[in-house]
Amino acid sequence: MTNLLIALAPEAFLVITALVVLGIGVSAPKARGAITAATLLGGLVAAAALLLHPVDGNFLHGMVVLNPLARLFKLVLLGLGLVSVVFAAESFPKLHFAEALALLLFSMVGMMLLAGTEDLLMIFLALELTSLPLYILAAFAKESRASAEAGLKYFLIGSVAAAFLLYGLSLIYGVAGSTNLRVIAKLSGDPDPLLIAGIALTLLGFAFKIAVVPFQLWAPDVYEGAPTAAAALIASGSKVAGVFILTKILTLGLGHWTGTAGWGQFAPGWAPVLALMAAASVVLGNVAALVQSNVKRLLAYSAIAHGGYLLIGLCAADAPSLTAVLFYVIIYALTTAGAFGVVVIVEKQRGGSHLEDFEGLGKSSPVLALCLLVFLISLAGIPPLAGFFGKFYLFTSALANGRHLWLVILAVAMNAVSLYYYLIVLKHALVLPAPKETVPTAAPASKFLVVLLALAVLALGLAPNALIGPLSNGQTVKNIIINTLQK
Amino acid sequence: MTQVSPLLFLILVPLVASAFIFVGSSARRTALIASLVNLVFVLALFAVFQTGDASYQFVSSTPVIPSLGIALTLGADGLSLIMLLLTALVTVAAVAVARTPDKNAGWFYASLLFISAGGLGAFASIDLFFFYMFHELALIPTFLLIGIWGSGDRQAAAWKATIYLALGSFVLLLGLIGLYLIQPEGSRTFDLRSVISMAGLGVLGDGTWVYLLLLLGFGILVSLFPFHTWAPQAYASAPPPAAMLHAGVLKKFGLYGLIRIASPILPEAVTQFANLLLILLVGNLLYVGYVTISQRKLDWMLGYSSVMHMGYIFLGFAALNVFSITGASLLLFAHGLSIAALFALSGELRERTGTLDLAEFGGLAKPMPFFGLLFGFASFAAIGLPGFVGFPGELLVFFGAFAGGEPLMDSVNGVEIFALNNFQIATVCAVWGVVISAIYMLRAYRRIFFGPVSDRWKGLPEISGVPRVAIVTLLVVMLVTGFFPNLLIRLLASTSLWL
Amino acid sequence: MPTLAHYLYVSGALFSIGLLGVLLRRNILIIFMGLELMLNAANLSLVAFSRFHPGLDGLPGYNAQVLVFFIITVAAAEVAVGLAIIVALFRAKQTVHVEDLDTLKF
Repeated sequence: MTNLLIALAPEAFLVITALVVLGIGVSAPKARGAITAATLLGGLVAAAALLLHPVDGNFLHGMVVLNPLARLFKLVLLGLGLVSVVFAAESFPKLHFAEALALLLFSMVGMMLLAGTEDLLMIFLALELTSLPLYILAAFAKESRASAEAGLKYFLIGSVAAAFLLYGLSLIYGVAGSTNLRVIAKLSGDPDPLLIAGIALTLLGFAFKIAVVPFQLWAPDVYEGAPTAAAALIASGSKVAGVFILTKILTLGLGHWTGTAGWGQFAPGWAPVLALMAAASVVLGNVAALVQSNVKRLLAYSAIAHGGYLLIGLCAADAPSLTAVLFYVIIYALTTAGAFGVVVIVEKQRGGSHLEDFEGLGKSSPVLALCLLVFLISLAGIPPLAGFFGKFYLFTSALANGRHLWLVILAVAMNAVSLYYYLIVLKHALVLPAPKETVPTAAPASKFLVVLLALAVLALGLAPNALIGPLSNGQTVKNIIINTLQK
Repeated sequence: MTQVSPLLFLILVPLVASAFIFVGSSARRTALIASLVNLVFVLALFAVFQTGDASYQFVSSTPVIPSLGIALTLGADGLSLIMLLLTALVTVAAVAVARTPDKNAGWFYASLLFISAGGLGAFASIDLFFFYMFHELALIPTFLLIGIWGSGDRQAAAWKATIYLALGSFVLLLGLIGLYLIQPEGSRTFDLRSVISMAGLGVLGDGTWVYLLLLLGFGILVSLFPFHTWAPQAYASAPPPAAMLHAGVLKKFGLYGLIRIASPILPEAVTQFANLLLILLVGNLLYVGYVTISQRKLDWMLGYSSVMHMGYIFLGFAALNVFSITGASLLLFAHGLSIAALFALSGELRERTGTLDLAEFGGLAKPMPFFGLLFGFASFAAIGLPGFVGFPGELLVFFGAFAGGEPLMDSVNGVEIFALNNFQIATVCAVWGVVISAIYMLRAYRRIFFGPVSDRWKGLPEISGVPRVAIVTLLVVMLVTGFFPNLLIRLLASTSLWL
Repeated sequence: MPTLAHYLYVSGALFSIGLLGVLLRRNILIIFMGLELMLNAANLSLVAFSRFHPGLDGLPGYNAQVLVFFIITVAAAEVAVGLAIIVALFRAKQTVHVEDLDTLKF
C-alpha cells in the first residue's frame, strides 16, 4: 500500500499543486507570477519524487504499473507539461489564469497516469482526464471567437473519438473477459469478429489522439484557434501519451494480431489498417502544409504527417522499430514544443502567427531565429539534429523488418516535400526584411526555455544514444511487447 | 582506439570559428584565419602521411550508437587527403574573394565555414552515417547563401537547388540504409572498411537496387544528366564564394561517394548498369556541352560547364579500372580548383562591371592585363590543357575508359576485326567533349578580353590584394600538380588498387 | 430469453443511431445527444458482456460494471465541459449550428 502511494506520489503532488494554485487564484487572482512559480515548483517536486524514489511494480492488478520505461515517459510528459506552463504565462488571457494552470496540471496528471497503466479501464479514465481539461484550455480565450470555435471542434471530434474508443474497448473486453492487457494477450488463434471490430474502433479512437487520418480534421483548427500554450501541450504531451499507450495496447494486448502490410504479402491484423492510416496521413499532412500561411496551421499539418511516420514504425512491430517510434515521438514532442515556443514569443511581439509576422525575425532577434532554424530543420529531418536521427532510425528499423519498403519510400519522398514548407517559414524569418518596426517584448523565461529546447534537440542529434540507450537497454521496451514480437 | 584523430580538429576549426563569429569576433578575419589554419594543417597531414600504406591513417573511432553499428570514425587515405586539400584550398580562396555583405555578415561567413566543415567531415569520415550527415550539414548553409545573398532570381534558384539536393540526399539515404540492410544480420555496421571486407567475403545480399539508389542519389547531387537543371541556375545566382565552395568541393561529394562506396562494394552492379551510366554521362558531355556553347552569360556558362565536366569523372568511375579511377580522382581535384578559380574571377568581373553578359564585353585585357592572364590560365586549366593537373586526369580517364569493358570482336567477310565497345564509343564522345569545352572557354576568353575596348570599360581597376593572391595560389597549385602529377598519383595508387 | 447477441444488436443499433445523429444533425445540442447515445451503447455492451461472461467463481465480471459507473461519471463531466464550451461559443457567435463555425478555415 505504501508502495502504491509512493508510486503515485508525482501525480498526487501535481493534484495538490493544482488545488493550491486554484487557492492562490481565488485569493490573489492578479499574482500571476506567483501562480506560475507555484505551478513550476509543484512540477519540480513531482519530478523529484519521480527521480529520487523510483519504485517498480504492478499495483492494483495492473491499474498502475511502473517500470523504467513508464517512468521515463512520465518524466518526459511532466517536462512537456511544465514547458507549456512557462509558455502559458505569455499566451493565456490574464483573466482566470490560475484556473488555466490548474487545468494544465490536471491534464498532465492524466497523461502521466496513462503512461503507467496496463488496464483498459484506467486507460479510458486517464485519456478522459487528459482530454477534458484540454477541451477547456482550447476554448480558454473567451473573447476570441477562434478559440471558442477551436474548443468546440476539439471537444466534438474528441468526444466522438472517445465514444469509438470506448465501444472498441468494450468489445475487446467482451472477447477477452478482462480489462487487463496482459490477460487479453493470452487470447490467441483466429480473431473473433467482435475482436476485429473492437480493434478497428480502438484504432479509430486513437487516430484522434495522435491526429492522423481519418480523425485529423480537428488539428489545424485547434492548433490555430487555441491559446498557443494549450496548442503546444496538445501537440507535444498529448501526442506522446497517445502514441505510448497505443503502442502498449497494440503490442502488449493485441500483439497476436499484428498482420502484415507488406506490398503483395498482406495478412489481416492491425498493421495493414495502421499502414493505410500512415500512408494517408503522410501524404495529406505534407501536401496540405504546402499551402498554409499560418505557422500554427502549418505545424498542425506537419503534425499529421509526423503522426504518419510514427505509425510506419508501429506497423513494423518489433523491438527495434518500437524503440525507434518511442525515440521519435519524444524528439518530435521536444521539437514541436520548441517551435510553438517561438510562435508564442512572435505572437506576443507581432500579434499574429502568420508567415508575415515572422519577417525580420533574423534581424530583430537572431537567437530566436537560430532556434527556429534548429526546430524546423530538425522536423524536416536534416542532420545533425535529433529529427534526422529519429527518422533515420525509424526508417532503418522499419526497413530491416523487410516488409515496409513501399511505406518508407512514400514517407521519404513526402519528407523531401516537407523540406519545402519548413524552408518557406525560414525564408520569412531569415531572409525577408521586417515590414514594420517591432517592439521587442521581454519574455525571458520563454526565450530561455526555447534556447534550452533547441540545445536539447541539437544534443540529442549529436549524441542520440543518450536517449536510445535508456530506451533499448535491458528490458525497457520489451516490457511492453509480448514475447512473439521480441526479436 | 582512444586517441583523438587530428582530422577531428580539422572539422572543429570552422565550427569553432563560426561560434566565435556569433559571439562577436570580426567575421571576415576570423573566417580567413580559420581557413588558413586548416590549410596549414592539411599540408602538415600531407607531410606525415605514410604513402606506402594503403590503409586509412589518422584513424579514431568513437561509438555513437553501438546498437546500430554507428560510430564517429574518422580517417584518411590518399584519396581523402587529396579531397581534404581541395576543400582547404577552396575554402581559403572562397573566404579571400568574398565581399563582406552589408547585413548579416556573421551569418554569411559562418555559412561558408559550415559548408567547409561539412565537406571536410564528409571526406574524413569512414563511417557512412557520418559521411552522409556531414554532407547534409553543408546543405542548409548553401541554401541560405543563395537565398539571402544571391543575385538575379535567387529565390527560385535557391528553391530549385534545395528541392533537388534534398531529394537527392533522401534517395541517397535510402541507398545507404539499403547498404546497411544487405549486410548479414548481427554484424550490420556503417563502417566502410567492414562493409568492404564483407563484400570481399561475398556475404552481402543482392546489391543491385542499392546501387541504383546510390547512383540516383549521388547522381542528383553531382548533377548527372538529366538531373542537372538545378546546378547552372544555382551557381549563376549564388554569391561567388558559395558557388566556389559548392561547385568546387561539395558537388565532388557525390562522385567521391560513388568511387568510395560503389566501386569496391558493388562492382558487379556497376558493370551491370554501365551502359545506362554511359548514356547519361554522354548526355552530360555532349548535350550539356552543346547547351554550354549556346550560353550568352558567363555565370550560366560556367555553371553548365561544371555540369558538363562531371561527365569525364563519371566515365572514369564507370570504366572501373586502376587507370580510370586514378584519373577520375585527379579530375575531382583539378576540376574543383579550376571551377573555383573561374567562379572567383567571374565574381570579380561582375563586381567591377555589374554584368556578365558576354556580348557587352570586349578588350578587357587592356585595362586589366593581369586579370586577363589569370582568366586565360584558369580557362586552359578547365579545358585540361597540358601543364595543368586536369591534363593527366583526362588522359588517364581516356586511357582507362578505352580499355574498359569486354573487347568487342566483329567479322567482316570472314575477317575478324576489332569493333568499338560502348566504353570506347563513350571515350570518343568524351574526347569531343574536350573540343567542346575548348570552344566555349576560349570563345568566352576572346569575347571578354580581346577586340576593341569600349569606353565603358577603360577605367576598370586591376585585380589586386587578397583575391589576387588567392587566385594565383589556386593556379600555381594546378600548375605544380600538373607538371608533377606523381605527387598526387603516388597517394592515389594505393587507394585505387583496392578494387 | 434474450441472449448476448440480442444485447449486442441493440447496443450496435444505439451506437449507429448516435453516430448518424452526430454526422447528420446541424444543431450542436442534438449532436450532443447523439454522443451520449454512443457512450451508452458502450455501457450496454459492457454490462451485457459482464452478465454473460461469468468469471471462474461463477459471478459476473464486476470489472466491467465498475467501468460502467466510471463511464457514467465521465460522461457527466463531458456534458458539463461541452455545455460550458457551447455557452462560451454562443456568447461569441450567437449560434448553436455547426455550419456557422467558419472562423477557422482551410
